[in-house]
Amino acid sequence: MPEAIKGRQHDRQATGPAAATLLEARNIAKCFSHPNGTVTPAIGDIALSLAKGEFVAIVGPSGCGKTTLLRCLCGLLKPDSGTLSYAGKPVSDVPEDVAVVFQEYNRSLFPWLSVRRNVEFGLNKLSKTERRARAEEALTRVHLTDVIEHYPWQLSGGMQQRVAIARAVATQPNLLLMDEPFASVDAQTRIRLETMTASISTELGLATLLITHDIDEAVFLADRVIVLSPRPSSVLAEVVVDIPRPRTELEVKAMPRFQEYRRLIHDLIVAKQSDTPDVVDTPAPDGTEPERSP
Amino acid sequence: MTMHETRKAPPKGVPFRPRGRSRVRGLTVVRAVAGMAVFALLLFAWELAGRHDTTGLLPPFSDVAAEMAAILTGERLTTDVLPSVLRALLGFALGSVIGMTAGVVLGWWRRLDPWLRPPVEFLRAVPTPALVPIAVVAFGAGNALRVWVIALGACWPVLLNTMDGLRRVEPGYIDSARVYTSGRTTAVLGRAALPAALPQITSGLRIGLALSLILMVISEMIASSSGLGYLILQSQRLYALTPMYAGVLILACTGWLLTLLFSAAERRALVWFEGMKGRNHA
Repeated sequence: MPEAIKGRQHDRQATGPAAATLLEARNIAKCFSHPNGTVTPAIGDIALSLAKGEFVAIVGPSGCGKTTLLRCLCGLLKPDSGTLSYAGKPVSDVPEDVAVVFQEYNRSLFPWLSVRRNVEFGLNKLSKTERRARAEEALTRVHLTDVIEHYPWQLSGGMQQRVAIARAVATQPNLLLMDEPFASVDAQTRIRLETMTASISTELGLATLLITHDIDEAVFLADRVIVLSPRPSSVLAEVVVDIPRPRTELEVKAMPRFQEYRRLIHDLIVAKQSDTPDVVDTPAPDGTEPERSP
Repeated sequence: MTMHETRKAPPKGVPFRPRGRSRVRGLTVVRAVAGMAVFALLLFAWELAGRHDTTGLLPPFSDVAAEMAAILTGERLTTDVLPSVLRALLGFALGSVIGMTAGVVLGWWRRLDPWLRPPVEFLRAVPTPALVPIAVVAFGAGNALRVWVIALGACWPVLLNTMDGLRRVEPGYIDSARVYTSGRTTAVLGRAALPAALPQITSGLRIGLALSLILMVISEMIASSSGLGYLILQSQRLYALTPMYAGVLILACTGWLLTLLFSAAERRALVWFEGMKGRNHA
């Protein structure tokens, strides 16, 4: 089984028509230059694609430039090189129907707006009644209708992240990007939020890209897991998770297959980490490595 | 910081209201009474000193209060007091608009910074009263002069605080706003950056208001024929000391009243800020 899933797989793209590709990144690279003149490469060379309605998780060791990658993928940050297209068009700024849930809810929800107005933030083009209806629908999805007039900072962390998810869902996006959305909440809340995210994504047919350092979370939620190397990151492998939906946390995590996926991804990350010291700028040559840009 | 989840969820269906708990309210009352007592004591001391004064330099408080009442009910209310207040407010408004506009330009479009910073730093170093003679030449000795002098002085704290406030906006708010407005600059600025910077902009406005009153008096003491500044200066020249003190007291009351109004408006606009601060310190 590990043999079957190791390495780069493109089953989904191979089976689905090319038109179903929603987001495509080719040879994305990004460096950061510091005031003292040194240049830190954050993303080495990343190619990935996401089909409509697909749930993809990106995992990698901490500090491998996952957040930078997400900011590039949604148009918040311009990559140094490479091409990025969304729905067939090149990405210059954040596309209309892309929503993002950030890691730090207390820095992404607006503290001067009530929960309702936060959720309505992206709906400015609609009439007031439509905005209200959409916001209430989105807040119902995350079970938060009872705190609608509160300020976000009056809520617990898990509740705030649900508000952020509602804000994203309310815009009826085609693509939802999530940057370690559950990293700052406690374990039990985390499981609830993961299950909620899975069902929202399935119900709405949302293409979802989840960035995480948590392998269990990635395998539990995703159709496909993209494993990144340490910084400057590149794609080590793509693993297609063949576990039927709907998935329930306890059942899935007890499956032998879940354990195999988990082990496989873990080994990929750990092996890569142990043979590349932190300070090295270019990754060691590796059979599974995609071709690097000159 | 990682304990967010242990916070108690607020009671269902009860939106946020600023907290006025009885213990805090009781303390406020005690404080207010204490402050008033000291204030009354000072006025009483003034009254005593005035009554026993043989030099004629210090009229008792009761005389000054009577004179104040006479000014505020007589024709000087419309010739001196109200025009002064109006000039101060107009100048403050104009200065705020100038300060906020320039502050947004400098704080938001940072690429302009190397071009605009040197002239801004230089102009800032000019003490505003020194501009009065220039303004007399430019605008004549009328209302326009006074309003402009006030505006040019009051704009600085507003400018600096707006600029600084915008530069310190949490980058996460900007990211969120860009995502949910598809990156439209005016929307990101107007709906996220400015509201986030509002607490600091408000501090700038508060200082600007105080400066407006100072500059009002200064501008009215030069080449003027009306206003509170003129009233005080003219009374002094005529050795009419009671109206002189009355003018100063009216000025003090005006400043106090305007600050009070400003604070009330600030509390309304920044309910979220006070509430959030209260949470974090709790």
